[in-house]
Amino acid sequence: MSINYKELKDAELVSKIKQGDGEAMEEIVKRYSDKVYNLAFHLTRDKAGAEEIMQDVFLTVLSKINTLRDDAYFSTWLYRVTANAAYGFLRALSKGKKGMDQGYPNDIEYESTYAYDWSTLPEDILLSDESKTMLINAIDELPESMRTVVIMKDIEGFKNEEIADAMGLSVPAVKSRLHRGRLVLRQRLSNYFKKYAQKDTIPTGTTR
Amino acid sequence: MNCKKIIALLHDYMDENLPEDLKEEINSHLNECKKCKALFHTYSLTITLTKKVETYCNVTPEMMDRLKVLLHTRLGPNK
Repeated sequence: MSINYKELKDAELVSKIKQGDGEAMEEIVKRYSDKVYNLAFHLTRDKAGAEEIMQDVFLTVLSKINTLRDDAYFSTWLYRVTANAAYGFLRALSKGKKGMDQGYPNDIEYESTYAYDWSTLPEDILLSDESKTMLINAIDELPESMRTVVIMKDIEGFKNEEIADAMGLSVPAVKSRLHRGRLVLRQRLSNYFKKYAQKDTIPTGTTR
Repeated sequence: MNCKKIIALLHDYMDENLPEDLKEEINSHLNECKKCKALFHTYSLTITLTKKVETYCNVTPEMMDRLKVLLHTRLGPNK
């Protein structure tokens, strides 16, 4: 009797892959290649690199799937493998440069750009190519711990719980990194957009 | 409620994860503090703009072929 692989759950496919079933592996690749590729691309901003990472990830699936204890956790495991492969790729690129988490202030300075409400700027300014490029650079420059969480949540649309599982973090830790990451990005955007501010639109006064 | 607390609670406030009384406190602070109102608006817009950065790309058929070849080599003659 032939098996319809399309109708099997991930956990059933995983258990078959563990027994060396190539068709089960093909179905998993069909289900997850786009997600793995996009996550790798957004973490690295490198198309060729993302393909290389995707290949590594599925090779890792073949070689390490036996270490996955609970087959139902396949997708979170897969995203963790993908994020780790992406970090490996980025580390190899930045050899000789300072570590990605170094050189970043612990206390984010909110005050200087706190007051200006640039959300009322016209769309052609907010969505200009220049501002988009600036934001992409700002995301790339986030410390690794914040960048992954921001990308997974705000770009890829994962839930906090999924990110926590994939990154081996608690949900509060995910939320705190996300919040800090968003604050850093907000500040970078504020610095960028402040050239459009008129002096009288910036409220003065100290933080309470 | 003070401004520093607002910063700390912003995330939960936006996720609607806060008890009513705390939410009310934040609402009334936002109504009277222009700086925090600006923070709230720009924080929300930062999330929106970040979402728009997304450039979804599909795995091309050529990439899929290369991947399959690689996996078949690894799986060996029995597939």
